[in-house]
Amino acid sequence: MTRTELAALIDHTFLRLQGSETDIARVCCEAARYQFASVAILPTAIPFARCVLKGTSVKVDAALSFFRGRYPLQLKLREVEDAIDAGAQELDLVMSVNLLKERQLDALALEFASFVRTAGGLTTKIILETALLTDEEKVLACELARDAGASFVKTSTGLMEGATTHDVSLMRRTVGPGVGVKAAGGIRDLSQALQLIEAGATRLGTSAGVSIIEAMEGG
Amino acid sequence: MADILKGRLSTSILDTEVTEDGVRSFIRGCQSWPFYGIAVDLISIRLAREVLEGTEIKVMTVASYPLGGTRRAVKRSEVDYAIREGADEIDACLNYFELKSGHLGRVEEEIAELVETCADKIKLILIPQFAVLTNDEKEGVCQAMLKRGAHNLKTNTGYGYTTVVDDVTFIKRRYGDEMSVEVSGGIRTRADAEEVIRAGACLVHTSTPFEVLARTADRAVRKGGTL
Repeated sequence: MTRTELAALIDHTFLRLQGSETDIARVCCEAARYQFASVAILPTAIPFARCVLKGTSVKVDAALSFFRGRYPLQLKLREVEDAIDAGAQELDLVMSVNLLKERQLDALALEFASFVRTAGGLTTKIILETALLTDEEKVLACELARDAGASFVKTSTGLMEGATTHDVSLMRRTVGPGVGVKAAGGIRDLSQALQLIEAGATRLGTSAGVSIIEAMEGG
Repeated sequence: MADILKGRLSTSILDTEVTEDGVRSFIRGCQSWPFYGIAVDLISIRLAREVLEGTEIKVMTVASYPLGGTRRAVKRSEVDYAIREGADEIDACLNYFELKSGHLGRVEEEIAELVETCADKIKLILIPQFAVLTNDEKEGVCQAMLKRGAHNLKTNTGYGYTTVVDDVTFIKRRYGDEMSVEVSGGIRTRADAEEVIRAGACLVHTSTPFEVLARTADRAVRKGGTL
């Protein structure tokens, strides 16, 4: 894998509440320079990031229902629509973990299908928050996401324990080759990044993208 | 001596994975003490109202919590939803991205919209997140709030940041009774809670209320510092 290939798998992530335009501008410039797939940010920063990234191929990726996912469906969809209006090009939605814990699988299937439909063809990523789930629950959520037509299943928000190779390979086995797997949370260095890719990840959410790429030889 | 914490303590159940049964049993467990209120997510307001029916305990909820990352129209939808479901109070995070980028005017516009949306239908408490603000930003946001008729402030979300007594003093010294102050985060003992009440806070929030009430010694919140 080359540096360019690895960079194209990275969602350059900045989700700190105290982030200002200065921080978002820095993150966008880094993403453009290294040609990361996207910048992953909070909805409040979408229009500004779009403006900074104008003329580049870097996408704006919005973290929605972030980070606890505890919204009624109508508000989740309202936030999806608003993020698209604001200029988001990829959408990462925290699923209703509570519904999975209650085994309300029909309600969860409806949430996923409505999300994909509302996204209208944009890249959709469903965040599982694997740190809170049993393996059985991870499989259930992945099956529902795959059946709903989501583009990616994603391990974590990054605010709890992050991605493990165990979870990534379990998710990859469950969704098959047709759905992306995004590993996120706690990805700090190159060897970890490569292990997660080896386990089946096709996207990495990390704030350490610059040092990960810099650690790779053959720039 | 009367317990100064009675009616001045609130708690919450906001964990990502908590189920309806979990919310119900948490609230039932809280009914044995005179809490001011219990905060739940928008999805659990109706349930909380049912369980708390006939008690004095208020149903509180949150908007854009805890990262303040939702945009204005969505935040208004959150407030509208809370009003429809019948919550008594809502804690709303401000737009920290605008605030930290120096766009106080836009923050003030949002405050005005929220005040208008809430009107007399729900009590609005705004969270400026003092832990990440400079003194100038703190003053700016307080003045914007008062100018727009928002008189209830909670210093921090409590998520990831601890309460600083100086923040309460900061507001009380400048704005006195014009601004009511609530605190959240890092309150670990009864002495912590009592100290911020004495400094002028009207409400102390803790997610572990019974541990706080049981712990009488070891003051953890210090003047001007964190835990």
